[in-house]
Amino acid sequence: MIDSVSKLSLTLGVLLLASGCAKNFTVVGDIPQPLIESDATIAHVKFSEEFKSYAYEEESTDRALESVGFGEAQVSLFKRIFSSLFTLSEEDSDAVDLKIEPQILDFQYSAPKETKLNLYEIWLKYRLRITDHHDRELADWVVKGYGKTPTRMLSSQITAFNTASNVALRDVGAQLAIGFRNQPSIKEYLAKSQDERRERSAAELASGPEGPEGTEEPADSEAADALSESEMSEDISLAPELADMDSTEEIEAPLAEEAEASPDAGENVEPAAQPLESDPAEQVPTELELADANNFELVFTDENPQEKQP
Amino acid sequence: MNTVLNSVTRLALGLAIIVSGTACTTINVDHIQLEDNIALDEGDSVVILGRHHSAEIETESSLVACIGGKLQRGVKDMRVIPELQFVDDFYPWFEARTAPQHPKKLRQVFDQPGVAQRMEQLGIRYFIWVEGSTERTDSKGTMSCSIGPGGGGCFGFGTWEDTSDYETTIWDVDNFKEVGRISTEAVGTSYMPAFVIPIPMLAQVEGDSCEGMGNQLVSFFNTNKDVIKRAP
Repeated sequence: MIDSVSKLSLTLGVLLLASGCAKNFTVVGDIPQPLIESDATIAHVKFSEEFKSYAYEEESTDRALESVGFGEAQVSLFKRIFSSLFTLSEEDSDAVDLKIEPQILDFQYSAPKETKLNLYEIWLKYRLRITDHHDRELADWVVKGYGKTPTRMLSSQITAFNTASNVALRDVGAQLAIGFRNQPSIKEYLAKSQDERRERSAAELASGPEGPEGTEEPADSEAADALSESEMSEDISLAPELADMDSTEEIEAPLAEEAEASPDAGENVEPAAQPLESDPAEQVPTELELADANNFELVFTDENPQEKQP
Repeated sequence: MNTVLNSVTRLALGLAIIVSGTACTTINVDHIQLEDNIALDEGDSVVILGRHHSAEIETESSLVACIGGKLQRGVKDMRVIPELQFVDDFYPWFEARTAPQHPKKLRQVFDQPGVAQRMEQLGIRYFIWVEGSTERTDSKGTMSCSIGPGGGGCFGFGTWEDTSDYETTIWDVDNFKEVGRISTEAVGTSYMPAFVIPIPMLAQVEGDSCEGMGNQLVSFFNTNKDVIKRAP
């Protein structure tokens, strides 16, 4: 009898101990390689020591988790995403076109006990300071990510939390991968950098002993320009439809006003995208058409439009 | 006394085995075919993806996998690409936030460098999107369990209702058009009487929804009877 009670207590004790182990742990990042075409831009991502070793410390004593190590996972995410967009440079040198400094602004989570749902939810908020090679600020971008446990029957708290964290990191990564190069100020800067690079290489070719002579250069340059334009138009057409950036805010970008002028300003979409997507029938009417519309309204303004229909 | 207890336990256990899984589910499946000709060549593959685009909508991965298995077994020479593998392979284009909501948007994803090429490598012909979830909509009853020196047991009765509501849309990648739509609604009530041991009579609402949608999808692709093989 005493043996049975002891065994039962022991089993319960082990179970309680096992469930109580999940107080401090480290998120293990698992972000796939993005299917994104990289360009020749050389970028340097600067991770501060605080960012690299970031750990969420729980202040409330009511919550089960005490600390969550998040630094490694977020560094791994940013490296993976930006290495797929640009050529990453380990060092901050003159050869670098773009400097990116991420900063974590907020990390929040909700546990099943609090929401009465058997899942964890994670909210992330990052700020990215983007500068050119002269350290001139190009953009100051806030990106938010959300993730929740995808299934409701996970083996442990740690697995559930880790999975939700990875979903949130993937969300941030997806926004960066698709939206980063479409940010107006960055897009303009990258286009300018590409032009400069092209001009430099054209000049090098022209000055070289075996390079093409002057008559051929403009043709190459034109072809490159045409290619560049087609690439840009692809980005433009993609931006309003796919870069659903409702959780992003460009807080201090030089072209922020231009972005706000667009109907999709809330989505940080390049205004130039509109003409490509718009239906010809929906295009802005000419002055003549506007005048006709006014006349039409003036004539029938006091009549019931339905009576005029056949 | 022990003999009586043993008999009761055996009886309860026997009853539990007999009645487990006998709870009923009412299922309603509607199917709309938007194109007359549903072509499927040998080696073509389909991908079945769950919608996760809002905090409220979280289509269960288990359901998506279940439908995939059913389609794989039911349609000869069709390859079903697992959801997780596909989403990882095409990251970041099919994430909760970025996944196309309309076939027109899918075309724009295909226009991205490398995407169309990888789709072609996998031979993807159809996208099947599943949106919806199974929720607990009602629960009643009480049950109490106790444990003492002489043993333990539960007494009471509990009942709950699960409701599932799913919408499946099929997109043809060749034409970037929606070619079919299947709506599934299922309601099932589970019971759990407890007399010493709890006897669960569970309604497999999600499983039945999978069965309904899977069968409908198999018949959807069954334009040519010869290409269908029987499920084992």
